[in-house]
Order: sequence, then C-alpha cells, then structure tokens
Amino acid sequence: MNFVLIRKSISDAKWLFLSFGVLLFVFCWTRVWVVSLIETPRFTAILDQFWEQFGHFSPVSFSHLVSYPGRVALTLAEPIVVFGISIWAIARGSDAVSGPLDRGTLEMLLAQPLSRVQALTTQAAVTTAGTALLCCLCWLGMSLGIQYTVVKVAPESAGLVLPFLDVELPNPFQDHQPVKVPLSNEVNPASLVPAVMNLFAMGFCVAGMATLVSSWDRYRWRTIGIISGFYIVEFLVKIVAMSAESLQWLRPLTFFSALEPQWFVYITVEEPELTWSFFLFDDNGQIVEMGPSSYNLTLLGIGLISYLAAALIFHRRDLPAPL
Amino acid sequence: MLVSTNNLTKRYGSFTALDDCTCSVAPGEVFGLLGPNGAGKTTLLRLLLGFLKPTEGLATVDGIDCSQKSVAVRSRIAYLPGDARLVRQMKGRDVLRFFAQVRREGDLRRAFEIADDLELDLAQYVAFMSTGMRQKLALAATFSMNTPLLILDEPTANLDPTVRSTVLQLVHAAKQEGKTVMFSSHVLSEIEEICDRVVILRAGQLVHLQVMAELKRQHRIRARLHAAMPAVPDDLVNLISFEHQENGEIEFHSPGELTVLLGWLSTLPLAEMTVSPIGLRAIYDQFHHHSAAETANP
Repeated sequence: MNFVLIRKSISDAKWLFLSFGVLLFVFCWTRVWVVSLIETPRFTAILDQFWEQFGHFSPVSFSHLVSYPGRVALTLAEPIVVFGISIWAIARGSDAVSGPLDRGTLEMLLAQPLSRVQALTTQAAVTTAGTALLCCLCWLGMSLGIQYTVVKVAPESAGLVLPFLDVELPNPFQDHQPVKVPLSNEVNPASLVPAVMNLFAMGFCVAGMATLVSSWDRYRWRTIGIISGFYIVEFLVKIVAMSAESLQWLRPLTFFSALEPQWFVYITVEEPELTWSFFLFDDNGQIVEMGPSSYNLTLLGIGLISYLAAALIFHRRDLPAPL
Repeated sequence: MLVSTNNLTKRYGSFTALDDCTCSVAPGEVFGLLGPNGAGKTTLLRLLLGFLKPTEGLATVDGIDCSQKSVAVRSRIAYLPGDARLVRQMKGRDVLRFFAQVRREGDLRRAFEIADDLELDLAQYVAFMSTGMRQKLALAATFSMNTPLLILDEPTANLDPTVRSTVLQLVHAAKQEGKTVMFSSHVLSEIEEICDRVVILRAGQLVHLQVMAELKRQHRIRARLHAAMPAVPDDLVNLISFEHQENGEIEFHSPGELTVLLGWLSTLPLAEMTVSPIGLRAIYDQFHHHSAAETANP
C-alpha cells in the first residue's frame, strides 16, 4: 500500500462520502423517530388491511413486523438506505478503472512506479472502508433515534391474583391509557448490528461488481449504465420471485435474495442463538434454509470474486491513450 | 543501451499499430520520434511504459523487460503525455506534491522551482487552469523527477511559443545532467534543434534512422550556371552530386564536409549562389511526401 495513493483516494471520495454519510445518518435517525408518530395499535390496523395481499413480500411474520424491533428494522429496508449504499458502491466501483481512464488521469498515475493491482486495491480498500463507515452511520443514526425517541405502549397488565388459587383476574381499577417509555426499552440497538452487516455485505458486493465492469470498460458512463441496468434487473427478479410461490425458483438468480436486514433483526431478536448460524435446521436436523451468515458470505463472496476478476482483467488489459 | 526494442510489434486485430520495430537509445542521448498521426510513435512509447502488451518482440529499459516488469521500468522513467490530464479537484501545488511523494525519484523542491520558472499559479485548482497551464504543471512534475530516462510524447502540442522554448531548454538541461530523453513531436524544428538521433515512422514501421550530426553537415547549393558545367575533379566525385534544374539553374548536394568543396565551386561560372543545410524536412519528405502538409512547418 502506498500512503500517498491512499490519501489521494480518500480525497477523491470525501465529498461523495460526506454527502451520503449525512443523508443516511439523518434519514435513519428521522425514520426511527417516525416510528413514534404512529402508535402500535394504529400501525397494526393499517398493516392488517394489506397483509393478505402483500404479506408474502415481507420476510418476517406479521407479529414481528408490528413490534417495535420490526418497525425499527424497516429503516434498513427503506429504498433511501438500500439505494444510498448502492449508489455509493456503484459510483466508487465505476471510478476504479474506467473513471480515471475516461478522464485521462489514469495515464499520469500509472506512469509512476505503481502496479495496476496496487492502484486497484487502494481504491477498493477506500471504497470498502467507506461502505463500512456509511453502514456504521446508519446504525449510529438508528441508535441515537432509539435513544432519544419516546413511544407509547400499553401498560403492563397488573391483574389481581387470587391467593391459593393462582388465578389472575383483570384489574378493573387499572388505568388502560398508554404510557410513554423510551424506545430503548423496546429495542436494543445491538440487535440491529447483524442487519447492518448484511447491508454492508450488499454494498461490498455491488462495489465489487461495479469494479469488475469498470476494469474492462473505457467509459465511466457506460460502466454506470451496465451496472445500474444489471442492478435494476436483479431487483425486479427478487420482486417477481417474492410475488408468487411458483416463482420462488428465481430467488437464486438475484443477489438481492441475500439482502434481508429485517429478517436479520427478526432472527437476532426472536432466535438469538441463530444470529451467526450458516444454516437453519428443522426438528429432524434437516437443513431448511440458509442462515444469516450464509447470506452475508454469499454477498461477500460475489464481491470478492468480482474484485479478484477485476484485478486480473486490469492487470492484463491494454491501456488506451486518452481521447 | 538504455532503451532497446527488438522486433517490437503491436497489432489490434488486423490493424498493425507498430510493425517489427528494432531500435536502441544510448544513455545521455536525445532521441527523436517523427511521423504523422497514426505512424506508431505513441504506441512505441506506451509499449515502453508497459501500458500496452506487445503482440511480438521485446522492449527493455536498462535491461528490464517493459512488459513483464513494468513497475521497475517506470521507476526509471519520467513520462509526459502531449495532453496531460490531471486530477481536476486538486490544486497545482497538491498535484506537484502528489507526484513528488508518490515515488522515491520525486523532488518537490525542484518541481516548485520549475513551476516558478514557468510562472505557474500553484494556488489554482486544475479544473480552472487552461490546457497550456495544465501542460506546464505536468512539465514541472515530470522534469523534477530524478530518473535516467525522460519520455516526452508531443510535449509542446498545447503550448505557446515561449513555453515551447522553455521545454527545449529543460530538455537541454536534462541532457547536460546525463539523462536520456525520448522525444516525439510533429514539429521538425524542435526535433532538429534538440535531438542527437531521429527515427522516422510511417504506418507503424520504422523507415529511417537519421544521425543529426550527419544531417547538419549536409548542404544544398543552388546557383545559376552561365556556361557549360566542367567535369568534377576526381578527388571530389564522392563528395558532391549535382543536377541541372530549369532556367539554367543547378543544384549541388554535399553529403559531408563543405569546406573542401568551396574552393572548386569558386572556380565555376556560377552566380546567385545560395548555400543551405539539407534540413530534416527534406529527409522527412522522402518518406512522408503526401502527408508533409500535416507536419508543422519550422
């Protein structure tokens, strides 16, 4: 690693990072605060109307979705967050080779005694670190939102227990008005960490694929076009796959199948012992589906293979003179 | 030899950008590359820098294979393209600092000195600099590097005459320091002024190698002949050739030392005699007669 090259790469990325960092941090905080604006009974009633038609699009159960952890987890599935991370990844990935080649700046850079792999890995390292920091900012925004948001919850039942009979009767004198409690009582920010890691894995995957296209292309606009088109197709494949049981076979064809931050929160909250598992088993010990770690490994694997292929292509290709 | 190419060939499909090029450059030499657009000058230089992989043949710098060990090769080279593109978000000062620090051969103090000589405003962002200013900035970055070889690919293409002159001075200074310079240009006068040897390329082929010292000894003598041309003395037969022109004019060609011929010429019935060096243009036109108009007139 060349420290001067790293500094230059950070300098190249700083404004893009700052703008997305502020956007994601503020959005995540605000989105968590918005949870407090709709009380759970009302939210449940609204969601209930659509659940029959659209429930199959949800990766988690109805009861979890209407819970505070489920509602906060929705933040990580919001288009602004997913697309924000994706746009950062595409912008950075496309700028790995075809960007400076298009601008003509790659020629002066590679005229120095720097290997192409060194130039690529430096750029990739800064992109990966930036993706991780953006995900951290998402988590920080949500954590601060959780810390400073107050929600109304139904008071805990305080029934009258009949002595010797161990029977609890409703207390007619209890106040049923909702009580205000900090959201942090309902949601533990630590439970969001695996989901944020899933978001990071998706960013790494998209950045790797964008870098792969960039490594053989000459024009950045074309790189962005190709990878954006692929991204949209993959996104549509996931929606189609989720829309009907008969189309489930499409799921392995899209990397979006491995992006399920809401499901990560569900697993972390409801079955914490499975948070880092690679596979989920049924009662007979048979594998029923991939575990959260397999989801992340899939995304990280695609990203890593893309980066390796990009390095190989970039190492071997001819560098045309700037136009 | 510091630079050596052996049967170097680069093909793109059926198009041959450089065809079987064999040449060498000695340490301390200023070596010119001459040819119209598409002749293969830039391809040759990019092969030396390891930007392109040769289809056939071998190129070495300081004995190191340019294709296999391009990083080691580039540590010996300072390169300046004709249209240097620099990071637009950087200030001039930061550009010089970057190029001085990114490699061990960089010299920031020297870069600032050259920038000062070129009257560059280093506080300005590259994005707001004119093409000429950007080229000057790249010149300062390139000439400040302590490398044995300078590769300049049409370095004066975007510069005004004053700065062109400065570039030639910098090349002279580099030569004085013992550096080797490879210099490609369309401008014959520049090549003529600074180069020790010149190769002329045509359609990817190296068609002529000219030693400039030999060219400078060659002269063309034009005069009007008032009587019949006497026979050339035996001892001068190999030193001069002539041909009759229209209107009684005669043109002598001297491939070598002129002084031994002047005595004989003074005895001839000549008038309106002019003596001029052959010049690179005459050589160039032998190979690029149809494309001569493309080349800048000295």
